[in-house]
Amino acid sequence: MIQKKVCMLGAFAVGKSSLVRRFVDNIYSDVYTTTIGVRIDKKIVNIGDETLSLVLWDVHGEDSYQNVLSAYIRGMAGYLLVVDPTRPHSVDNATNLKNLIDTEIGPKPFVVVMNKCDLKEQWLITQDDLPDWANDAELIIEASSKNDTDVNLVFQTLAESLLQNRQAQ
Amino acid sequence: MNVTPSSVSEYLQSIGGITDNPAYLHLDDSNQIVDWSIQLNDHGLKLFDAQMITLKNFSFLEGLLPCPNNPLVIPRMQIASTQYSDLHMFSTPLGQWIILLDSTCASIQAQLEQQSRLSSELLTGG
Repeated sequence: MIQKKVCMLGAFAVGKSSLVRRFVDNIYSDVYTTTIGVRIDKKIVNIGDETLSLVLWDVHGEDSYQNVLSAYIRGMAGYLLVVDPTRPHSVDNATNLKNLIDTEIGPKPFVVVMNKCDLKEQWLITQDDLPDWANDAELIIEASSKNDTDVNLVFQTLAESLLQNRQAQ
Repeated sequence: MNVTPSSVSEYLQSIGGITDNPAYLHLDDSNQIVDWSIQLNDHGLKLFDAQMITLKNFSFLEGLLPCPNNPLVIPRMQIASTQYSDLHMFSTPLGQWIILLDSTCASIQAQLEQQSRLSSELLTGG
């Protein structure tokens, strides 16, 4: 079976861990629990006739730890870049992360997640407000772990892209 | 009982780590398992049948191999739900070495402090 490392990246409290919990265990909690370091999960997805094992690295979003981020992203095949449109500065954090990745390990397939679409009336930005780098994403997806809106689509889209990349190599 | 390989004990001594019964995995240059210690199970791994252990049991190593010549440390990995481990990886002429050191106590303390700080930031519009 093909196995790929995927990192969950974004500012703190944008909902990275909630996306993983919804995707892996189909559970959601309203209580915010900060991640320390990195939590590793695994989930098998089926893409057509192929089976892909995603090793999910849910990386903390704390700014002060960015110096160890290089170690966490080592060997990743692709990533989810998560922003919280109710907190526009989470886009600045995403920009910094994208630049760091491109510099450290080169461009990798990624999906932008505009998370918390259950709070859309509180969103302060839309897809049109995202910086130019978002045009390089496989897809920009509005999702909600709380309502289970398009969470599977997020991971499935990245998984398909990873498989296509592999076949192209 | 396994005798700790000298590559592991010398590395642990160099970083001031505890050298008794370390959790380690030894791979050859083609990523085949040469040796491992049962203490890996203390880090949330479930290695029961020695004959059945393969690299698939170590999915967290996906993308990380081969081990670099200079030691690489990946701190605070949560492989099991309640356990935190620091991953140390390096190569020697004898092969590739992966060591897990428990960092649960320090990580839980850091988590409590970070939780308090970030929750306050969120309340103030952070």
